[in-house]
Amino acid sequence: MAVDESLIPEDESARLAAVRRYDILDTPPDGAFERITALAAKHFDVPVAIVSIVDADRIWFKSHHGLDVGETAREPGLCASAILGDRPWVVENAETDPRALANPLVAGEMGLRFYAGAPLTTADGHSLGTLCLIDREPREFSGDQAATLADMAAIVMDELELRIAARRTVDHELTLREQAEQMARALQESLLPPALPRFAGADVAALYQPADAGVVGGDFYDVFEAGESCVLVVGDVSGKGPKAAAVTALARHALRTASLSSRSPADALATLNQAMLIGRHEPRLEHFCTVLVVWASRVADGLALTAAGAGHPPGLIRRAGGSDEWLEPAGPPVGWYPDAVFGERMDRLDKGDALILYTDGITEARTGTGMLGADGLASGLGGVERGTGAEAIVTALRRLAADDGVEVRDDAVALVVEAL
Amino acid sequence: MPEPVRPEGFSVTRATHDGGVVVSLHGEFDIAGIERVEAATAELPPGTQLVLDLGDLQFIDSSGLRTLMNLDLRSRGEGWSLAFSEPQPAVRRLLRLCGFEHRVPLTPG
Repeated sequence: MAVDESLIPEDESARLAAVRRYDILDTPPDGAFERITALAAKHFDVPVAIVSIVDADRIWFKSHHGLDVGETAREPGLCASAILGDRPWVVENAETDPRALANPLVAGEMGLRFYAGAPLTTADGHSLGTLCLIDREPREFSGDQAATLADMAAIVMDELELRIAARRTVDHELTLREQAEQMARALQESLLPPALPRFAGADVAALYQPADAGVVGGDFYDVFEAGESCVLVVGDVSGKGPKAAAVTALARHALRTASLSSRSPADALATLNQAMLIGRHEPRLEHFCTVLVVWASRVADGLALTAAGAGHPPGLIRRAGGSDEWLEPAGPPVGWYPDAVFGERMDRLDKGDALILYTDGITEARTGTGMLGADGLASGLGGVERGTGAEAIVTALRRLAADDGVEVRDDAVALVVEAL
Repeated sequence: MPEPVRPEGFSVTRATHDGGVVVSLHGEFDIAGIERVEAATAELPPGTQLVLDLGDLQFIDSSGLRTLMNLDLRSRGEGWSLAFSEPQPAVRRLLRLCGFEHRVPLTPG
């Protein structure tokens, strides 16, 4: 429906843009505006007080004290007229006022006689709507009263400004958080192998599940080829955030380099330990790192394993035949003791046997009765048929971590290799 | 999700014998317990024998391990001795895993 052109302000398109900017139309009732209309009705002793917003073809009431109507057409024209000026627009007696005589609110059932509306004017001069008073009796309205109504309208405007400022802050924080998450993801991805390499005789799959998308965790895994071996690494740097990420990057890359020139995984860990201690003084590193490194090399019908450990939870070997065993080399976490010695364990995987390396985010997950634990991990995989591939185990771990009765509180990483 | 089980709590007790200090850890040792263990082991004179009684320790996380590793370093740097006593199997397994058996003697309780 077209609106009478005399009711359209000159700045209408900019004004409507301002109405949109304040994002107030069709929002639920709000205590601040309810209080202002109640206060205005009481102060001026009128039955009805309204905060109205003039939309393109309707007048929407943000608050309507004493009137059971949420919006009206723009056409009757009282609030629409009130926004045309920059001062309160007053009709003291509609029956004798030519500007209001024909208005349906005056002529009709409503029987409006008095109207006073102060425009809600933005800092850049657009009128969004009014704070208006309505009575069924004619009234006199003094210049002082008009000034008070204008002050109350300014309070409504302050409230609208507060809302827009608060929303901007929230939007800004959301943007910042999204940026932080993107950076964390990019950083995290640089700490993990882009794709798992393929090795003859070994089926490899990995699980990586950060506890918080916005924070770079200290858990990592790596898989690469060194000489005749497939090197599998799972580690956990204490702490979180950018500093821990820097230590994680150092650990991962130093271990890659060391593995190429070391005779054994324990040797590689000793080199990594030295690398982490270079330039460190007392007190010790803010961050240390637990690692489990396994060299897997192809032998007839399986994989020969040599594992070296630096304080990391033991690997779980699920034998195709049905038993569970632990691959548990001992040694202190790297980055702590200059004289650290790292222990090794040898083992082998026959066809269908799987080795599961993991971080304590999985075993320290809370269950109804305490922590999942290493044994809980083994029993939690009980339903997975043995010898059905590394991915089946990763899928089961993912399901275990998502279980309603298991609460994973930290990063969870697992690396699985099954002998083909 | 069922209500997660709260850690059982953690407490530290300290007793002095001639020439020795026994600090006992009870419950679950995680990041919340570090300060109490550090306070109980602060300023030990050279020559002191510190026995960390782990008989009642149910669980230790990486923060707790780090505190134990720090005690190990401090004992060497400050000239006192450190021993662990009677850890339960799960804690003992973890201590062994972290290479403590080559660094810190285990004593009977």
